[in-house]
Amino acid sequence: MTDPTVARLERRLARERSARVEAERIAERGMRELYLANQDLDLLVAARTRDLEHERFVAQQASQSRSQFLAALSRQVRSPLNGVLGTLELLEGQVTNDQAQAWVTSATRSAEDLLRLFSRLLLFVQLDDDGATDADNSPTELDKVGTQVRERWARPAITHGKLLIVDDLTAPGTAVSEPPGRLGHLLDELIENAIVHADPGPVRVELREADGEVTIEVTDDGPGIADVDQLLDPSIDDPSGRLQSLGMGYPLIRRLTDQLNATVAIDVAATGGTTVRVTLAAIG
Amino acid sequence: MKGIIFNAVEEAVTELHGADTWDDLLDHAGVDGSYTALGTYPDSELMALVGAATEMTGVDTPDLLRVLGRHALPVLVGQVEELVDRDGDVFDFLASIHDLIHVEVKKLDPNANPPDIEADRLDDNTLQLTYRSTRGLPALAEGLIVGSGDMFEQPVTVVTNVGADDSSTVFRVSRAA
Ligand code: HEM
Repeated sequence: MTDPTVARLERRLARERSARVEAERIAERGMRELYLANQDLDLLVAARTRDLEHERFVAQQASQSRSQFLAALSRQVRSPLNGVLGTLELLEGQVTNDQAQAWVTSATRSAEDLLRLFSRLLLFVQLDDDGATDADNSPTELDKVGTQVRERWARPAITHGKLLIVDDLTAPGTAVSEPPGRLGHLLDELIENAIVHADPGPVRVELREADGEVTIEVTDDGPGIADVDQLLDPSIDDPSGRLQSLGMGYPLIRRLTDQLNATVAIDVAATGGTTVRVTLAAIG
Repeated sequence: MKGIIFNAVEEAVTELHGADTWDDLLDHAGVDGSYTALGTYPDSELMALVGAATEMTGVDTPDLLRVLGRHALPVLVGQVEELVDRDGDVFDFLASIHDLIHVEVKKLDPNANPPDIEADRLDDNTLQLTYRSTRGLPALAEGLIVGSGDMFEQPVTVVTNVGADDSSTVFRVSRAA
């Protein structure tokens, strides 16, 4: 005969054991269900990812063909426009009559404006394509910037009856990491805008460096922007006309500033005159 | 009913009367008695156990359930330790059963079907709890309420009023002076 205490203990042990086995079975089933649910989830995620990738591809294609169309349009428009400009130049030499001379000048201005507009459109589209304009990602030396601005803008400034003063106050060898192409485009937009608005000039471009920052200031004596904040919102109308006059230039400046690691600030002096200040980090 | 309730009952019986009594109860009730907190078992097994206890002790079933509930509470709290502030107020704990603790129980096992324990604070010293369940175990609830007072060391007294329609029971819980 077995000892009743031992029998009790054996029964308790058997109970515990079967409870443990059951717990394990339940836990295993739970884990298996979790595993299967995870697998379903993986499949679902994979399918969603595929769908999204396809949608992105389609959207990319659409955006690419739109960009390509706009780029081709602006390139193709420029050839006949150059033809028009050439012809107008020939005509200018031929006409003697003052009135006709004025018409030719006016036509030339308009054709130039149109040409500039399409150049900006092309640049904008190219910047949109992931900044494809800058194959070159090398840093920009500031003395080169000064020289380039002088070479490029001294003559157009004179044509507009304005004086262009370029002051490079940076130490030789100062550079910024932004590539020369995009930085050049930004300065072109700012300087051209200043030349158009200077009243009656001069336009001053100043390059300075302090505390590891490079500032490039473009100052003119033209009327400023009534409310500087407006420049941040292209949808706001612009009583001073300054903003509107930027036309295509405005979104271009925003896009360039976004792509460059730059900040742009605008000061309007109480005495009239506007300063646009671009700040970049110096390297070296 | 979830296995944790059976575990809590087993613990209460063992604590009060020893492991042998639990063995005898299982025999008497004719159940095999291996319960895991993860499992779910027929309500009838719980009723058979309580019935057997009544037969063996002569104590009536509601009284037994009250005692079991009072001693089972710490086991239940152990299951959701992270949701309970042991240094907190017992009324806060009781008021959290419905919206927090029994909700969590259902999250862990969607098949669990804990009762409704609606809480109304009548004043700083009086909390009204309304129990609604298809299982009809108000005495167990009462035991669990008193057990909560024990655990928080903030003793409570409970006045029980069976609801007009029999499907609900109202407990008026007061802080014991
Ligand atoms: C941390 C504390 C608590 C936990 C973790 C907990 C958990 C549970 C669980 C798992 C069940 C079984 C449900 C099922 O199997 O369908 C249950 C039932 C029950 N609970 Fe709670 N509970 C707690 C506190 C309380 C308190 C304080 C009361 C009383 C106010 C209470 C009253 C009840 C009652 C009476 C039942 C039996 C089922 C019924 O009558 O429908 N519980 N609880």
